[in-house]
Amino acid sequence: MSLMTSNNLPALNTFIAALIAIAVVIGFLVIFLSMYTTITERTREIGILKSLGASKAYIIGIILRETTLLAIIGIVVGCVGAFVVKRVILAAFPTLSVDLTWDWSARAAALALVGSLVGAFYPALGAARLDPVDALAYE
Amino acid sequence: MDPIILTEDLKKVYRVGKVDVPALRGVDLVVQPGEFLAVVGPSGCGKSTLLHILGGLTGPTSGKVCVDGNDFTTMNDADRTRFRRHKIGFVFQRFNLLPTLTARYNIDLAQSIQGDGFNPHRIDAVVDMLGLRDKLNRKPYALSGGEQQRVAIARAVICEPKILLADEPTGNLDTENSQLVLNMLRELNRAFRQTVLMITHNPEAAAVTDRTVHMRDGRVIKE
Repeated sequence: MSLMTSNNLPALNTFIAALIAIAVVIGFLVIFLSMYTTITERTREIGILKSLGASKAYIIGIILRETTLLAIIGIVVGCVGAFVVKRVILAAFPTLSVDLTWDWSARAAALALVGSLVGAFYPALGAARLDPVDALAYE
Repeated sequence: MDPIILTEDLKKVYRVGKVDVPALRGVDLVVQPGEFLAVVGPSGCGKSTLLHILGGLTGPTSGKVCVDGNDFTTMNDADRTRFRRHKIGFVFQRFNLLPTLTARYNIDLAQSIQGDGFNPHRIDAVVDMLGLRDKLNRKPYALSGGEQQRVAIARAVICEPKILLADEPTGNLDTENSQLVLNMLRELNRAFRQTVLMITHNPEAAAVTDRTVHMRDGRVIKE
C-alpha cells in the first residue's frame, strides 16, 4: 500500500499538479474578490481618510498591511488545520501515508502571502484613486 | 493682511453623462484670517461645491482660487492632498467618523495622517474645550449625534488647520445640540483665532457668525 504514492505512479503526478494549479487559481480569485468587496464596502471610510489628507501611498499602505496580517493569520490557521487533518486521517485510516513536509508548507505560505498581496494591490490602487467627493457620498 | 481665501470668477462644471452641469458660475469671495463666515443658499446653489474646491477635494474648472497663498490652478491632485492634510479641517453633516475606532483613535488618526510636526499638548486643550474628556474611549455608535459632531470637530482642528470648513454641521442635530456645536465653533474661532467657513440652511446658525454670504445658482448674490 505504501508504494501507492504519487512518486511511484507518474500519471498521478500530473493529476496532482493539475489539482494544485486549480487550487492556486481559485485561491487567488477568492482573495482578490474578498479584498475587492471589503474595500468597496469601505469606500466612504476611504473618502474620510482622503478628506483628512491621506495620500495614495498611505491608503495603499494600510490596505496592504491589513492584507499581510490577514494572510499571516490565514497561513498559521491553515498549517495547524493541515496538521490536525493529517492526524484525523491517520487515526481513521492507519494504512494511508500522509506527508506534510516543511518545504511544501513554506511554498504554500509564500504563495498565500504573494497571492494575497497581488490580489489586494489592484483594489487598493482603485481605492487610492477614488475621487474624495464621490467616496464621501457613497452609501 | 492678505486674505486667507481669495476666489475670482471661480467656475466649476460637472459632467453628468453627456451633459455639462454648471455648479459654480463665477464666484468672487474674499475671506480674512480669523473670520467666521456663513454661506447660505438653497439646495443645489453650489455651496457644497464651493466648500469642496476651497478644501482641495476637487479642482476648479476655471477662475482663480488662492487659499493661504496656494494657487489651485497650478496644483495637481497630490499637491491638493498635501495642502488638505496640513491646512484644512473638514466637519461634515454626517459626522464621518470611522465607526470601528474610538473617539480618541479617530482624533489620533488625523495626527497620524499629518505625520510629524503636530503639537502633542493640543489634544488636551481641544478635548477640554469640546467637553470630550470622559467620552474618548467610546466608539461613535455609543455617542449622541452632538457628541459625534464634537469628536469630528476635535479631529478637524487637532492639527491646527488654517481653515475649518464645515458643511451643514448642525444639519443632523436637534436644536440643543445644534446650539452646542455652534457655540463650540464660535469658541474655537475666538480662542484659537480659527478661520471658519460654514455652510448652513439654518438662519439661527448663520446668526452666530461674523458675516453671511448668500449664494444662488452658482453665484454669490449678496453679503
